[in-house]
Amino acid sequence: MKRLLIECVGILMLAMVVGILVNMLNPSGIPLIGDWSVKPLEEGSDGITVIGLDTAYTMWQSEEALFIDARTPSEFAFDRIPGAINVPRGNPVGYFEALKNRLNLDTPIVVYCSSKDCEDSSVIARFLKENGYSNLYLYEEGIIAWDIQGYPLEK
Amino acid sequence: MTRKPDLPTFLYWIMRVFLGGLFIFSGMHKLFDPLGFAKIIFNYQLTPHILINFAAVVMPFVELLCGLMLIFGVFRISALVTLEALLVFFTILIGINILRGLDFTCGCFSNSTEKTFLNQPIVSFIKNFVLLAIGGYLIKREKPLIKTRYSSH
Repeated sequence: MKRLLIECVGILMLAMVVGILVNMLNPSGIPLIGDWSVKPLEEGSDGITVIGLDTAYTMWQSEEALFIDARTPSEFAFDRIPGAINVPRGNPVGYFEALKNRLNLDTPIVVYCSSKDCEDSSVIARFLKENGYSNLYLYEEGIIAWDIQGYPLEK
Repeated sequence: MTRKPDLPTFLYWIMRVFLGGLFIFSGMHKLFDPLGFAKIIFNYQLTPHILINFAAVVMPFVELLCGLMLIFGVFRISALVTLEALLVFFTILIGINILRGLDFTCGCFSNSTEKTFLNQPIVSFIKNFVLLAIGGYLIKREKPLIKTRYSSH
């Protein structure tokens, strides 16, 4: 039985080494220690305006606000609000780094995820707030309501 | 002259390829979307935050490797035992969350968070028992090999 145990541990070790190597080479690879500590916004958080579908659409049309998609990269790759940029929960720092220099702290930013059922947009809004961004909008109904309304999506 | 395979041998091969194939499929699915899988693990609310990404990176390869080893017969007993251990572990996690009444999706064979029939926790829970039984049957069939290769004396 000792031999069986050694072989099982061997399989796990091999999977670990290959997994880490492939993750390093994978363009959508992730840091081995993620940032899952940011919590969703508390009820009535200051500095963040919750907006509905109509306001979100008007802001999108005016092209003044930056739209941030808080869903996972694969969901974002499938469809997104045109012009939106992906800053997913779990690795916000990694994705946000490239974007940071293009933004002022008072740039209007609209954050969304799938629907009211997901809390990713709330988490990313809190992340942005903690990083000093002050002009934040939380579009809670998300991309599902946007799609149902027939507003454009980028695929 | 080739010997015609009997029914138990045929069944054994069907189950071996099925179980192996299922885990290859499952591993491949998660492989290309590590952050999506990490989020599924996070949603279980049972893993320490520091281990979430690591598990999301390694787990798909454990599944893929064991699936391949099982089908191709490379250290197949160990691969089978590892898969059974994984299944027991996952079943306990799902069971705990069902008891806690948590709203979650299994993420067992895909990263989808859509609430489909197969993604429902209770369906996944039952499905895992079926897979455990298949694995158990395969282990039973391998008894002669287990005895010769792994018995301690």
